[in-house]
Order: sequence, then structure tokens, then C-alpha cells
Amino acid sequence: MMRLVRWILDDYMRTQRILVEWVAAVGIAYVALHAHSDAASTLATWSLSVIAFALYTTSVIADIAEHPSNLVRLLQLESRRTYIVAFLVATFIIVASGYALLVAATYLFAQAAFPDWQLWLTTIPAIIMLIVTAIIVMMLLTPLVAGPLQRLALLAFIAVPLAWGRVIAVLPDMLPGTVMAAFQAMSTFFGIMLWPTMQLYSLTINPQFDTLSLLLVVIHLLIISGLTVLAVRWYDRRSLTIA
Amino acid sequence: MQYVSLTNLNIPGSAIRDVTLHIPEGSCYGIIGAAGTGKSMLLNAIAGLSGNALGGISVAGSSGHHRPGSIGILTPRVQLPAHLTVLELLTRLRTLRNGADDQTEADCYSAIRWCALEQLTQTPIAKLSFFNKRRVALAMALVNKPALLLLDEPTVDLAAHEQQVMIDILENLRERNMTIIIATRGNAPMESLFDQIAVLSAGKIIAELSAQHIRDMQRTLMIRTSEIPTAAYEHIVAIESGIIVTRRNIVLTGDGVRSLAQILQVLLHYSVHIFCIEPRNHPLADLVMQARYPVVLAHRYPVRLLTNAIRESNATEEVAS
Repeated sequence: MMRLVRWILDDYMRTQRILVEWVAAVGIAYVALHAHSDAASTLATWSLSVIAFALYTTSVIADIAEHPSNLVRLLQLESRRTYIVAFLVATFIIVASGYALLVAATYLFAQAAFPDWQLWLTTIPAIIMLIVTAIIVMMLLTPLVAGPLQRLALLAFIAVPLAWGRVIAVLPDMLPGTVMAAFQAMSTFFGIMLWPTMQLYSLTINPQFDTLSLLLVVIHLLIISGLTVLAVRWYDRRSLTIA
Repeated sequence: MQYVSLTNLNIPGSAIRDVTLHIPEGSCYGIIGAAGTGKSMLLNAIAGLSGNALGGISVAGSSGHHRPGSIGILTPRVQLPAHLTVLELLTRLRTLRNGADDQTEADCYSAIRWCALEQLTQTPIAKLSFFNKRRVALAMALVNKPALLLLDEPTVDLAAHEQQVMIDILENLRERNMTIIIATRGNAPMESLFDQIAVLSAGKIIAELSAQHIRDMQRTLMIRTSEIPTAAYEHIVAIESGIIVTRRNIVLTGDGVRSLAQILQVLLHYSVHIFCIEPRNHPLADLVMQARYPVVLAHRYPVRLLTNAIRESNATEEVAS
């Protein structure tokens, strides 16, 4: 598998696709953080940037992985799972390289905005989990892994909880109390659903080491594992078109 | 021994319906059909890539989905890593699963030799012509010495002389102890390669012909009609061997051609509308035409005029004899 990962990374570098992530990383550090002096906003910018990198890189990698010419490699591997996992690993390495460059460029161009080293180092586990989550979720939303209905369902699964607050706000007052109560209950349910990821994001900005954080990490690791298994299984059952 | 067996294969969401095929080990099998008839889907299914295929698919006695290294495939869409040389690309693919071994270099050079790429081993792929890239893609399919080689339209988009070179390469591959399946639209003269041919129309196998049968075809005619009722169908197929009848097409081969007038009488009797009769030179092209929707040419070739022309032609021949 590592030979395939190296091949994917080599292709990504030599075809200069990597420039998008790397130029964006330097650009963000130079343009967005240059005039800042607030470490918290720097950490927030890094987290949001890394999510954007993960979404973009995953969509590009999924497109590459799906191309018939590349699927020729699939026929040489032990299993389909090896193939998709190799592409996931390569995506992670590319996004992580973008993050590393973003941090380095911030140190060079915006030293005043650079957080304390110890503070930054404590955010790294949460950042890694954030990258993995974004990659896996995005991969599940690509045609490489999921069919149209699966993608639609997953998108609704993400979008509806995120937008639920807005939905509640525009509901008319004349709705019966029991109906409104049901809607409010959904808010609570969706809030619990989104809590781990929202907390994970906040951990990348305000890292803490307490029982709640540990619980959060465990929950999130379980979610990531579940999503990874789902992505690999879905890919295993997909019809691929090589010819 | 059958190397590839498809039994009642159905692929939901594709044209493939109830395909049953048995391809002997070491043979070169042609699947011909027009665009959109399901040839590529069939190759995908054989390669184990159709996640939703229903029915039996067995390759080398195994019905497992993934068969690492045992299948080589050539696709018509060639997009190779431009920055690598031919030898680098083949070496990477050869070492992808198990790493390099004593045979790596020899296998790469074998694939290069089989595809007549000796002069291009150190050439970056970016500098290759489309035809050379196609040959590199074929070498990729061969570098792991697969037992089964699937070729999807190997001559499509090639110039006539390039098609001939490709056919020569494939001819040589027949001696390499592989089972080869070639999907084609029948527009290149590849019939000399095949041991057997299946004609695919709208996802169904409508005819299976031996190589000898194809070579023996002196002339083929096709009649395109409106829908043929069952009674007319039964009547026509009983007339003579060498008549292939589908819902809207009748192909006359060999002795069947002599029955044209009789068939036209049957069609008239059952009020089947005849759109056109197509004499063509290439037997495969005729069979492929069955898969296409008939073009309404009735106003140009009215059925009575056609029938009268045949009658007159027959009468003239009788008088002459």
C-alpha cells in the first residue's frame, strides 16, 4: 500500500497540483495573518484553512482515484480496500503538508500572530482529528464512494442539523405547542449530534486537557472509525468503470 | 476448459440483460456491438468491478470479485502520468503489489517488446503520440503477465495504418498463453484475431459465431423493419440457416442471402414495414448495425418497389439461366 501512496504523492507533486494547497497556505499566512497579533484568531484561521484544504484535496484525489487510467493500478492490488485506504492516507499527507506550510509561513510572515509554541503543540491532536474527519466526510460525499442517494442522505444528515436553528427561527408562532415541542426536541437531538465535532473545532483553538476533552476525543475517534469503515465498505460495493 | 463463464448476467442500471457466455481458456473472443450496447460494462463485470452485477461470473473457476494481478485491461481513454518514462511507468506498475524481484526487469522488457516499444523505453510519456500512448497502456496491461487480457476498443480513434500495427501486436499476443477478450464496434478488420464472436445488441447476446463462420461469410444483407410479430419471426427463421432475426432486423448470411425474396414475401404477408436493405462489405459491420435504431427510409425505399425489384431480378436470372 505504501508504494501506491508514494506513487499518488509523486503524481500529485510532479503534476503541480500540490501548488494549490501550498500557495494557498502561504497566501493565507501572508494576506490574512500578516497584520494580526491575536493568537486565538490565528489558531481559528488555521483550523478553518485546514478544513478547506481537506475538502478541496479530497475532491481532487477522489477524482484522480476514479479515473479509469488509475483504476488499472487497482487491478494489481490485493483488494479494493487497499486502494481506497492508500488514497485516504495520501490525502491526509497532502493536507497535513499544507497545514505545516501554513504554520511555517505564519511564523515567517506574521510572527506577532504566532501562538505560544506549547499552546500550538497541544492543538495538534485535535487538528489531526479534524483533518481526518473532514477528509472522511468529504470522501463519503464523492461519487467515488457513494451513490447519488447515499450522498444526498449524508448531505441532509450534515446540513439539516447545522441549519436547524434557522428552521426553528422561521417557524410560525401559530403552530400547536406539541408540534413546537417536537421541533425543539429535534434541536436538542441535533445539538447532541453536532456536539463532538463542534467541540473538536473549539479544542483546536482552546486546547484543554480535562476529563471532558478526553471523553470528546474518545467519542470522536469512534465517530471517525465508524465513518472510515463506512467509506471503505461503500467503496467496496461501488460499481467502477474502468473500461 | 471454460476460463470465463457468465451465466444470466444482469447489471441493473446498464444495458446488460441475461448475458450468458462461455469463453474457453487461451482463446481470443470478440464481443462486437455498436456504441452503448454494454460492451464496456461486460468487461467491467468480468474484471470484477461491477458492484451490482447479478448472476454468475466465474473467472478461472473462481467467482470472487477481486483477482489481483491476474487481469490486464486496456481502456480507450488513455491518460497516463506524463512525467514518467515508459520504463519507469511499467516498473512502477510491475512492483506495485510485491515490490521488485529478479523478474521485474525481464517482465517490463517483455511487455515493451510485445508492444513494439523498444525505441521508446526512455521517452517521457508526455512526448508520445496518441498511438504510442495506446501501446504503452497495452504494455501496462501486460506487464504483470495476466492470464486474462480485456481490451476495450483497442483500435478506436487510430488511423488505418496504426490499426493494422495494433492488430499485428494483438495477433502476436495470441501466442502468449493468455485468454483475450476484445470489445469492438466491428469497424476494424479484426475478425482474423477471433476464435469466436458474440454479437451484443441492447445488452443482449443476439448471436454467437465461430471464426470459421465469420470467414465463410461471402456476403451479408440486412433488412431493417418495423417490429416483427412472433408468427413472422418463426416463419422466417424456419426458411433457411444463416438468418438472424431480432425484433426489428433480419440479417442474412451465407445461404440465407438466397432467401431474400421469400423473406420479403413473409414480411409483406404480415404487414411488416421494411425501412431499408443494406448490402455492406464487412460482415462484422453488418452485425453491428443490428444494434442501432432503424432510420425511417420508407419514403425512399417503398416496400412494394423493393419487392418488385427483387422479383424482377429473380425473373431476369431465371430467363438468363
